[in-house]
Amino acid sequence: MIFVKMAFLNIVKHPKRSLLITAVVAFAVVVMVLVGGLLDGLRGRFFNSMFQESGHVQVHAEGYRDRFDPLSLDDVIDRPDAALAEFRKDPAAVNVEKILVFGTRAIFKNRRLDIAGYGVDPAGTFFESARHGIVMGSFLPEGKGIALSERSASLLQCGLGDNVSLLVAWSDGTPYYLDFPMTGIFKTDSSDFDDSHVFISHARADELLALGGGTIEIRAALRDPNLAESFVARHKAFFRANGLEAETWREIFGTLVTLLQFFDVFMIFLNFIVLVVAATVITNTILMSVFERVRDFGTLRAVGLKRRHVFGMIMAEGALEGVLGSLFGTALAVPLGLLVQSTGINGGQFVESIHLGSSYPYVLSARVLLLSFFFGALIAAAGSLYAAAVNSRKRLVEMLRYN
Amino acid sequence: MPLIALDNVQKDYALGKTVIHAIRGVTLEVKEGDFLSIVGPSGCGKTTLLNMIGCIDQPTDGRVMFEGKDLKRLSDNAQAEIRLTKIGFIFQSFNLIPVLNIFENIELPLVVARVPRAKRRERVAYLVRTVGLEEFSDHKPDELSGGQRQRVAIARALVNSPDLVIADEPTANLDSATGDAVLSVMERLNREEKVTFIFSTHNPEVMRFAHRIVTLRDGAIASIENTERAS
Ligand SMILES: Nc1ncnc2c1ncn2[C@@H]1O[C@H](COP(=O)(O)OP(=O)(O)O)[C@@H](O)[C@H]1O
Ligand SMILES: [Mg+2]
Repeated sequence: MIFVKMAFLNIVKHPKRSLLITAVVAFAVVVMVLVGGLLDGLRGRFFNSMFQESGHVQVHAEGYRDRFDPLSLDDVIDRPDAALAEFRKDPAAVNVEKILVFGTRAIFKNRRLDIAGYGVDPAGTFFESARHGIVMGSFLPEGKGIALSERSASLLQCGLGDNVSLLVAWSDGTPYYLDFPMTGIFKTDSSDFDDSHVFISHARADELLALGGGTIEIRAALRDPNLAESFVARHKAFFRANGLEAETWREIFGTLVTLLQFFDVFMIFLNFIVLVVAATVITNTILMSVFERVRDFGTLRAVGLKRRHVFGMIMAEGALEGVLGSLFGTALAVPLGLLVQSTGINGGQFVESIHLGSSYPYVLSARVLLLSFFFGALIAAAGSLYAAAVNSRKRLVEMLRYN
Repeated sequence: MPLIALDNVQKDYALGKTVIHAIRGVTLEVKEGDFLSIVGPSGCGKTTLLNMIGCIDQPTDGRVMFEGKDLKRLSDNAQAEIRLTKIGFIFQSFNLIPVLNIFENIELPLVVARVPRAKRRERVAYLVRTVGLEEFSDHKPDELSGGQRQRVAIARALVNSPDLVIADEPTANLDSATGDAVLSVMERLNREEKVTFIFSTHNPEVMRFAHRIVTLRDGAIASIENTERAS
């Protein structure tokens, strides 16, 4: 096909112009990949940290939800092991653990820190960020000791091996304390989290609070977040018989879920702006390159090409440049995306403030790559379509007189 | 039936509020095999007239009949078809496609007309020889002199064996020796292949190649005369 050949020749013969169009398309693709990956990363991190801190379903003693102080010990699940056994049998459940949350004052020498204590299964999986964030020692080895964050440890000025006292008040008001040797120091990417969590084993927490085998919360992680509602429905009778109540993650994080949706809209808007700017620049460049050659197109029509031939030529050229630009852009975006994915983007206050850690997470997905490639080629094609249509409306004599 | 018949053709250009009457009622017949020259000073309407004959522009009033068909009544595509197969146009400034080489420039109308490859090669090779550019087949237009480029334009105009070839001041951008050579080629093709030629010029020197000279003044025909070459 001589038209495709001419389109190709036009690209090669006008390297500056072609390079400009190709580069703009490539740039647009790179930006779209970065923005899209950021969106995916944020959503991923958001859900992850959400489920980290909450699980998919939380079960408490009846009345817990209406209680004013979330750290009070008034509503205790007295026989958690029956509930654990019941939930672990559920096919949707991946992990079920009991968690004992309590308010405490950590004391070392003459320094003190009011903080939330968490009695957890030492071999469990919830609070993964703390378990994997250990920078010194280990996480409750053999259930012994206490794990503090680096920030809390430096506030108390204590180190591994030091005995930290946890002071609590029983539900009848009796003060009580136990000493815990510091066995682990952790650091997560959320200073919020670090400032508000200390961990001891569930057994020791039970002892400290004198609950006699009870717990505050039973938490379940499911195969899929969307199974939470059906999980709760399945165990409704059990909850009622045992004086329990359950909340799904949707109920726990109601406002944050809305925030996430807002974020989606914002990111789509951002992508849209990138698209519009890129489309404007690309269309202008293509239009310019077509206007430069109006006389040539006129000559082609004068020797017998039909309007649609010339139209097709301009389209072929734009499509070729679009695909080329998208290829370059993708080739550039993949290593760049992988780099950003491995290092993250430093986010500062904003992400920190919505519990997303201190860096923007980034995920490079095939979906984002494909979409960006497609849109890059699409806007080049749309720009060419516009330029070809403008050119096609011109009268032949005018084209031949064009300079 | 004459090849071309102009019937009281008029062409106006609107320039803002003023109207320029570029062609004011031209009536003219051109027979097959004719070698016609349209002469007159710059601005008298030569290009305007040739564009209308060549199916590149339409008259404001009057009719241009080509082989008995009113060009104005044809669809856009039918007009393109006529430009492709029936009329060859040679421009004053050559109008070659810069990205194609000489062979491809001449070949282009054949490709559009879907002539098979082998036939195309044969035809283009013949025309390249006819205009004496064998060594330049794979050169790009910007590597050629003005006279050579104009000969490429002639070859391109002839490639689909049109019934009519129109040349708008084909020698204006050439020195006189080169201009003579170009017109000699046209004259030979007229004699040997019976191609009908219409060319315009404002140079009295080149008129002598024509069989008939139409003198245009202010958009109207001032005189039509036969030369000694008329048979
Ligand atoms: N597109 C146009 N718009 C306005 N006036 C034009 C246009 N083309 C030609 N003219 C005018 O029409 C007249 C004839 O022009 P043209 O046919 O180019 O003459 P020639 O080819 O003999 O030099 C001139 O006065 C010219 O200025
Ligand atoms: Mg002129």
